Amino acid sequence: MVRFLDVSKEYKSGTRALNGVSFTISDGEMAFLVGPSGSGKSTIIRLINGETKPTSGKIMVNGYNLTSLRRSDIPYMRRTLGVIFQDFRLLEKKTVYDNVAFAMRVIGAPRRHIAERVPYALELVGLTDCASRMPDELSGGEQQRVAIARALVNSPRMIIADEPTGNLDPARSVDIMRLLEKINSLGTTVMVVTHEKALVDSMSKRVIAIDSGCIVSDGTGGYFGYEE
Amino acid sequence: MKNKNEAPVRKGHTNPGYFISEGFRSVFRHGLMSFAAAVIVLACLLIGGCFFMVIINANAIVTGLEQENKVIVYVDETYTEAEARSLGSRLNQIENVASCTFMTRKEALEQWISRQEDPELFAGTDASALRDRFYIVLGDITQMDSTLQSLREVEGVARVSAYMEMARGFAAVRNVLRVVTYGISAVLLVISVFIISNTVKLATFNRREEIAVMKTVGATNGFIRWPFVIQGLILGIISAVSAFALQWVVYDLAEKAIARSGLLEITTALPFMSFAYVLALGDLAVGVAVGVFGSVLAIGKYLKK
Repeated sequence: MVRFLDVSKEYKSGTRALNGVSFTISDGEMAFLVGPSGSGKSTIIRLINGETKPTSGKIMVNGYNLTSLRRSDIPYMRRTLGVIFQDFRLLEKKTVYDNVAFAMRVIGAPRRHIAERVPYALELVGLTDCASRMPDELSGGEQQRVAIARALVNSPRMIIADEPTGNLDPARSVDIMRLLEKINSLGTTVMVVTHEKALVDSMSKRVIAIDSGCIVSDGTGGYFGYEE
Repeated sequence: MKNKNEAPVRKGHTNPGYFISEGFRSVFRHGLMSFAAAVIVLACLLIGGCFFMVIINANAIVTGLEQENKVIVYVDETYTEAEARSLGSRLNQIENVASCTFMTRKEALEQWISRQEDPELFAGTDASALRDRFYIVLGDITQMDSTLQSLREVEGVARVSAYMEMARGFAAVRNVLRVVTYGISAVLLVISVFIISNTVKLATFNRREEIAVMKTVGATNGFIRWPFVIQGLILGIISAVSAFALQWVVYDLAEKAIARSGLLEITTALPFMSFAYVLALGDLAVGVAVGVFGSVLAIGKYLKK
């Protein structure tokens, strides 16, 4: 669960990225965060991920109060999140299996647990047969699936997808959205940040629209639901 | 499909095997840079260690001389042997003189020639270049200064030479050396930390994407830091062990050369084993400290994000 209560963020440069933003994404929900460039979407992701602190307001992420969270507890909070990026951010010198397993190794998961979870995550994203391949041998859609498997493998309570289809063709984009929907149906909260109007419209999920650091619409339906 | 989603792992298990293998991998991944860093730290340790060995020997010489209760009294060269010999009774009467042994200038020359590598070269040397002398043993070394004064006041005594006075000269040299050593060691330490830090920085730069992923999935700062600390540690230990081995070789060669030259007639060089453990521990401590500190310094930037 993510809860923003009257959150404002002003950077040292004086740029005011968020202005009194409040919203809640409940456990098990799937929501889209949409808005033009510079509207404050990336700031929201950075705030949720603990990369920066709000200037004012309160943020709760999966039971952690980020406003008062100690620096040493940030990694443990991050383990409740799985983050997917537009550019996949896979490690080129590791196989698909090792890319996914890496996310477990670095939080000190036992080998037995890794051996169970990695094949499960690869099966979930439909890449069981690609386990021993290198990332550069895969298509963009497949690479993004590996990134999703990596985000999932530690059983996060929430997946945050930052423009997950930005580098994909329309057909692959739909596949990725369906996959995220499937993950959501298995109980994981999903928040997708995207520009893709057609995709958002086709999903009929909750859409939070942000512009100039303020929430301008929050409702179920299409990308421009707030205009209706 | 069954939902296998579970609560995420709260605390990571410590995994020394992973840290050590990653540390070694990092050393070999940047082999040339690691080699350069290890050689520079080795050079710093070698220089510092050599100064230490000189100082520890100077210390031993000073201490040895300070405890030496012998004095040589040289007789005026215009005195005949009989006149010189007659001074013995007067010297014996001086308070604190325990014994007094006479040696003629001829005997002194013979003794000196016998110590040379090729005594034949000095055959026929005129003994008149030297002085008759008395070897005096003092009863109480604490009264050295007043006894020397009394000896100098005896008519016919040309010069009095005491090991204690030589010790003072050595002590002054030792003190200068000590200051120079501290200064050089401090500079070398800073250089070593800088070099190790740069090597680890290169490793962190090459692995920046990996580090970013680690942070995103919730790796702790400790987990990210350890492999790099171990990389620095490995470089420090390699440098320390190599430096110790080289110091041993250098000392052995220097000891033999000095013994051949007869430079240390008054004393002998300390056996290497008498201070080897101090030197080994010092090398290791400095190597480890430089390695760890350099690494922590290098990785700090990435962990702040």
